[in-house]
Amino acid sequence: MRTPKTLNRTWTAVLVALLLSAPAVAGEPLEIPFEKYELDNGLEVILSEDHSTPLVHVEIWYHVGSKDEPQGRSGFAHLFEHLMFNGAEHWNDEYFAPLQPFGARINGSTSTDRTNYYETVPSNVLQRALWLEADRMGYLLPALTITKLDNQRDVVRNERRQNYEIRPYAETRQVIAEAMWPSDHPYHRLTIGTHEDLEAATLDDVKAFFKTWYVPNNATLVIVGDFDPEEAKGWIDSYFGPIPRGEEPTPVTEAAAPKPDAVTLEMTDDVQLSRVYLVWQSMPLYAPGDADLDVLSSILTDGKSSRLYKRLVFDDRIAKDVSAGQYSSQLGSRYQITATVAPGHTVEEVQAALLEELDRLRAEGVTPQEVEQSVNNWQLHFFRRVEGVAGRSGLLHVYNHYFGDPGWVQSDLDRYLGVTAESVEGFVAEVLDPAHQVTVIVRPEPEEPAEPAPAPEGGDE
Amino acid sequence: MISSRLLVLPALVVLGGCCWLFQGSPPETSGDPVVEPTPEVVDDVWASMPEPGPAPEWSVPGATEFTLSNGIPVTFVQTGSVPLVGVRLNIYTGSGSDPEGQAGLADFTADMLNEGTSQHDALQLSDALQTLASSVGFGAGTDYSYGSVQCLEAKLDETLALFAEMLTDPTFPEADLERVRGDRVNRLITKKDQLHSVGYQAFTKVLYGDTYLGRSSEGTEASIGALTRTDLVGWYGQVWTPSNAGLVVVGRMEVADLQAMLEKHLGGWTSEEATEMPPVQVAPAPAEGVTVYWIDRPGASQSYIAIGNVAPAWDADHSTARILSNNVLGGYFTARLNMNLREDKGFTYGARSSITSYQSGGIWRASASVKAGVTAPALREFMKEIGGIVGEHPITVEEFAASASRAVQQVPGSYESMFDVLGQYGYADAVGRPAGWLGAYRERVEAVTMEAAQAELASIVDPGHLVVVIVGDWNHKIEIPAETADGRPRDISALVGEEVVALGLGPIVMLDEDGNPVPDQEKSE
Repeated sequence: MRTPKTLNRTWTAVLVALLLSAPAVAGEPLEIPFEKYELDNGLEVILSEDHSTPLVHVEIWYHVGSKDEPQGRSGFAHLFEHLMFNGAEHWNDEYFAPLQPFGARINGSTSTDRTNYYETVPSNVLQRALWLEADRMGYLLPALTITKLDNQRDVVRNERRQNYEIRPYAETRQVIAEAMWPSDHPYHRLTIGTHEDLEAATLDDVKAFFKTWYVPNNATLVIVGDFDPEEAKGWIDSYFGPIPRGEEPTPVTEAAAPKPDAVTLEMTDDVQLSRVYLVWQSMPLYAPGDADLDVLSSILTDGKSSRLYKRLVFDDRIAKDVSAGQYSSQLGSRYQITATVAPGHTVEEVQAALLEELDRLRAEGVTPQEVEQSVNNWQLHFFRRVEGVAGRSGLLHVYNHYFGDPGWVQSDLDRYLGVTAESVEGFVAEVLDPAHQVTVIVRPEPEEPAEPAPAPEGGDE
Repeated sequence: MISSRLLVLPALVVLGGCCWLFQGSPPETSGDPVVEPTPEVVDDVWASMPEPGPAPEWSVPGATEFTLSNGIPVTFVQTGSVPLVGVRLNIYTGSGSDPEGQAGLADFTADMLNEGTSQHDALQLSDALQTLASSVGFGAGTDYSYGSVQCLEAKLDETLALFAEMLTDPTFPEADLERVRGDRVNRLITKKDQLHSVGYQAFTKVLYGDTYLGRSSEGTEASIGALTRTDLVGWYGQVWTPSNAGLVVVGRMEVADLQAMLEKHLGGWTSEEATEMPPVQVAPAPAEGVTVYWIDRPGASQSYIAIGNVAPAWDADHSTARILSNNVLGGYFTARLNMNLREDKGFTYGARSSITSYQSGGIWRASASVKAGVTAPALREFMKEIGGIVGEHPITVEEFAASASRAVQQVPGSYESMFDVLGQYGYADAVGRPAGWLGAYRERVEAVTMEAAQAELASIVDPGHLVVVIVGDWNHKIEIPAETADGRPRDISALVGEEVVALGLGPIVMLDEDGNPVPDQEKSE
C-alpha cells in the first residue's frame, strides 16, 4: 500500500540532491541521469550509473495493481506477488536464498496501481540478480504448485491479521475505502483483500493473471548504481530478450467516482483512546492541487507551531496526536486528517476544535510565510527521496509509470515550488468541502464482563 | 568439505550451486505439476545460475580524533562532497541507570532539553531551527543518552549555537514539563493497543523485573507520573556533563575549521563539580526452567509469541559469534524459524530471533505473531527449532558460510549515505567501542569459526530454561487440521489455551496487560 506522504526532516536528502547537481538551493535543475530503451519484446529498460558505493539496485515494476484485479478476487495481485518469491523453472526454491549470502536487501510490494520487485546487491552480484528476475518473469508457471499457493495464501492471511486486524484502528481503512469510493470503483476494496476472496483463489487464477499481466511488454526494469552499462545490456538481452511478448494488457486507467455525501460513521475497536478521521476525496497523484495539498499538510500538522498541532496538542492538549496527509493514487486520492483524543477529553471536543480550525482556514486562507516554510520542508523531503540507489530507482520508475518519462524529477519539484497561498486556498475550497466530508469516529470497545480465561489446569509436568 | 573459516569466494561458489540442499527442504515436488509451454531458450544461459565474481574493494571510511579544551573527545569522519554536517553528542549514561522506581528518568530528562532555555521558549526554539532548516533532537537509549544535529554546513555555526544553548542551559519550565509528561503518558497508554508491545514489555519484565531492561526507556505510567522537576534537574546536573560526553561529526569540512567551531560553541561547557555517575543496574541471572506466561486478549485473530531468556552483557570477544549464530536460527528471511513457521507451515507473516547485548545484560528472544488457532502447533515448531539448533541439528557448514558471508557483504550498504556513517560511528562511540572497531568488522567475522559460533549459541540458548510469553485469545477454537505431531487426531473442539497447556512445556501463569500476575489465576500446578 502506498504510505502517506508525511514530512520527515532528514537532511540526507540534501546530500544526494546536491550530488545530483544542486537543486533549488543553487537554482540549478535537479536531474537523475538515465538511459532508456526497449527490447523487441516490449520490456522497458532504464539504466542509471552511480559509482559512489559498490552497490547496485535492480527493480522491476509490473504495471498492474489491485485496481486491475478481477471481481471476486480482491487481494489477488498481492497474493501473486508472494508467489514470485517461491521459485521459477531454473531456480525452483526460495528467491532470497541465492542473494541473501551477499548481503542483499530484497523485497516486493503491491499497491493499488503497480507491483514492484527489487534487490540491492554488491555490484559483483548484478548478473545473478538479473538472471533471477528474468527467470521469474519468463518461467514462473512450470514451477508453480498448489502447495506453494496454499502456503502463501496462509502467509498473506496472516499478513492481513497482523497489519489490518490486530493493529489498532486498522479496520478504519476498509470503512474509509468503502465510504470514499462507489462499490464498483477499484479502490472500494483494499489491496490486502478479504479472507473470503483469498480463500477462493485457484491455480487457474494464478496462471491467467501471470499470462495477462506478467508479460515483458507490461514491465519496466531499472538498474541504478555501480555497473557497466554495456555489460548489463548484454545480460539483459540474453536473459530477458527471449521471453515472448504477450498480448497488450489493458490496466484500469479511470473510474467514475462521484464525491460522497457528508456522513459520519461510528465504530469501535480494541483500543485505549478514541480517534476522529475527517476524509475527503481529492485529485489523483500529480494532478493540479496534489502538491498544494501536500504543502497544506505540513502547514496543518508539521512541527510545534503548525496549526492543528499547536491548537489541539500543544495549547488545548485535547488530542494525543494529529496528522494530515494527501494519500495520492492513480485513479484518485483522499485527503485525511486524523486526531487521537487525549485521555480525559472527548471526541466532541476534538471534532469541534478541528472544525473551527478548518472554518478559519477556509475563511482566512494561509499566509505566504506558512507556504514558504512548508515548501522548504517539502523540498527537503523531496530530496530525501532521491537518497541512495533504491530511492532514485523508485523515482525513475514512478515517473515512467505515470508519464512514460523517467526524467520528470525537476518537474515534480517544480510542482511544489509553484505553490502559493492563493493556490492552497483554492484547493482547500475545492477539496475540504463540508458537503462531502466523511467523518469516521472510533471509540474503545465498551468494558464488558467478558468471560474470563479459565484458570489453566496445569501442564503435564 | 569446506573449512568453516573459509568465508570468501570459494565458499560462495559452492553456495550458489546447492542452496536448496541446505535450506532444509528439497525443491517443490508436491501438488500437480503445471505443464506450460516454455519460451524458446536461445542458449544454455539457464543451465546454471551465474556465479558472482570477486567482491568489490571497499573499506569503512576512517576517522580523525581530537579533544576539546574541556576534555570532550571528538571523532570526525571526513566524507561526502557536499556541504552538509551531522553531529552526535553522546552522554555515556542511559536508561539502564534509571534508579529503581524512576524508569524513564533519563529519557524524560533528554526530552526536556527541547523545551526551553533562559533565552528561548519551546516554540521559539522550534521556529528558529525551522528557519535555519536544521534539526536538533535529544533522547536516551539503554546505555547512553544523546543529542543530534543535522544541518547545512553553511548553517553549522548558527545551529551549533542553538544546540549548545539547549544542551547547556535548559530551564525545565514547569508548564512544558507537564505538557511533555502528558504526551509521554499518552504514548504509553496507546502502546497497550499493540499485542507485540504488550508481549515484549511483559517478556522483559518477567526476565528483568523493575531493573535495566525490565522497563522500556520510556518508563511506565506510574514512574513518569511520579517524576518531579527536581528529579529531572538533578539527573541533568549529574549526567549531562562534559566529562561524560563524546562527539561524533560527519562532514566534508577541514578538521581545523571543525575544531575551531566546536571549541567556540562547546569548548566552554563546564560542570560545577565532578559528579559520580549513577550505577548501571545489574542484570539478573537467566530464568530457571520453562514457564509459560499468558496475557489474555479476547477476540484477537493472532497470538504474539515471545520465547527466550536473559543473555550475557556485550563483550568484544563474543559479539560477532552471537550475530553469526543467531542469523542461522532467526536472523534473516531464509533462517530456520522463518523457513519453517512461514514458508513451510504458513503459521505467520514472519518469525525471527535476536540476541541483543548491552552494557550490563542482554536478551535473546525468538518471536512471531501467529494465527490464533495454531498457537500451540507454532509453539511446538519454535521449540523444535530452538532445541534442534543447540541439539541434534547444529549449524551446518553451508548455513555458517552464508551467515558469515552476509555479515561481511552487507557492510557497504550500511555506509551508503553520510548519515548512515554518522549512525555507525555515533553508535560505536555511544556504547564505548574501541577506535578502529568498525573498520575491523570483516576481520572479526573471519576470526569466528563455526565451532565457536555454535558454542556461543549453545551457551545462551537453552531449551530447558525459557520464558514463554503469549498474548492471545485463550478461548479461541483451535484450528483444523488435523493431527498432532505424534499422529493422534487433534481434538478440534479444544480451545487454544487448553491445547497450549497440553503441550506440557511448563507451568502457566496468567498475567495482566501490564505484565503483573493475575492474583486468582496465579499458578497452574
